[in-house]
Amino acid sequence: LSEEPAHRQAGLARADDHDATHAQPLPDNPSAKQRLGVPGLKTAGPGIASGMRSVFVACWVIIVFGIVFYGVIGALHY
Amino acid sequence: MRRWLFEQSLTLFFLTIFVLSLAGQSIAGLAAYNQEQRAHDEHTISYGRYLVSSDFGGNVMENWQSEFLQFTLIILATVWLVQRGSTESKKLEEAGPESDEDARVGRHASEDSPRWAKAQGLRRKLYENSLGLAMLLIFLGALFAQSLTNWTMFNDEQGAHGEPLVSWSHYVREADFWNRTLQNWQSEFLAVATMTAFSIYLRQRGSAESKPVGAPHEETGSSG
Repeated sequence: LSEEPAHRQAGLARADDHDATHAQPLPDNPSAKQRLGVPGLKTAGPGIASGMRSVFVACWVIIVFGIVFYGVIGALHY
Repeated sequence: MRRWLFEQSLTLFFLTIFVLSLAGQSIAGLAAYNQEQRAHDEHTISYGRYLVSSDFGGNVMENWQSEFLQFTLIILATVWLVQRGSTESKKLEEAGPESDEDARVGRHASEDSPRWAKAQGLRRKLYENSLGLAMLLIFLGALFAQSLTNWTMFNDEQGAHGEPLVSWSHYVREADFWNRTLQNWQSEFLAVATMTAFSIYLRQRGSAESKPVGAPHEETGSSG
């Protein structure tokens, strides 16, 4: 295990990792928990996808708000 | 909750230090702005007023646009350009757009592929390029917002010195706009070139941005 790249130890496959294209995120078994290296964590639940969506949306909100807000401030010569 | 935080920790970490840095910038920016105002015997402004000023907005947008230009160019350039031995590059033989099979689109999509990867025509074309397009749109939006805020600041200066005010289209051809823009671009481009070259020979154990420590320098496109 210790010789495996970290992302494969975590059960995660990167897009450029051709040897691990079949690796699935977070397999639901005890050894997967052990491989994550974070003790006490439960296996993936139904809320995980919404977590990914939350950070995705949060970034969009910050960026769109910032650009529109300061674009308007500039246009109004404020 | 702990699990949720762990799985989003990379984004959450950077969003947190983004907010802290922005807050720090606003405090230091206000102090510098008011110092300048006092030096010219002009009235100082409050923190709230500074947050909604073109001065602060311009400084923020200048940096945003250059960061998103950097990512736009990395995303697009790494389709065709390679760097032997770098983790930032694809393998040399993979340069160029991928085949449908490698991209796992259309009939090569799997059951759990995103819906738009399975689609045909414009929808798929859009989705295939959505990351680059999103970065490009944000770059252009931030650049436009920067031009508007810097234009306001420029005209403030012009007015204070009794010089004629200029139009927006005139301002984007001014040396002031390009000085502010290019000073941000040059640093981004140097950082990308350096990261690309450094990752050939240097390692950071455990980092997704690095090859495994024992990987040969020749190995291209691998990561820890």
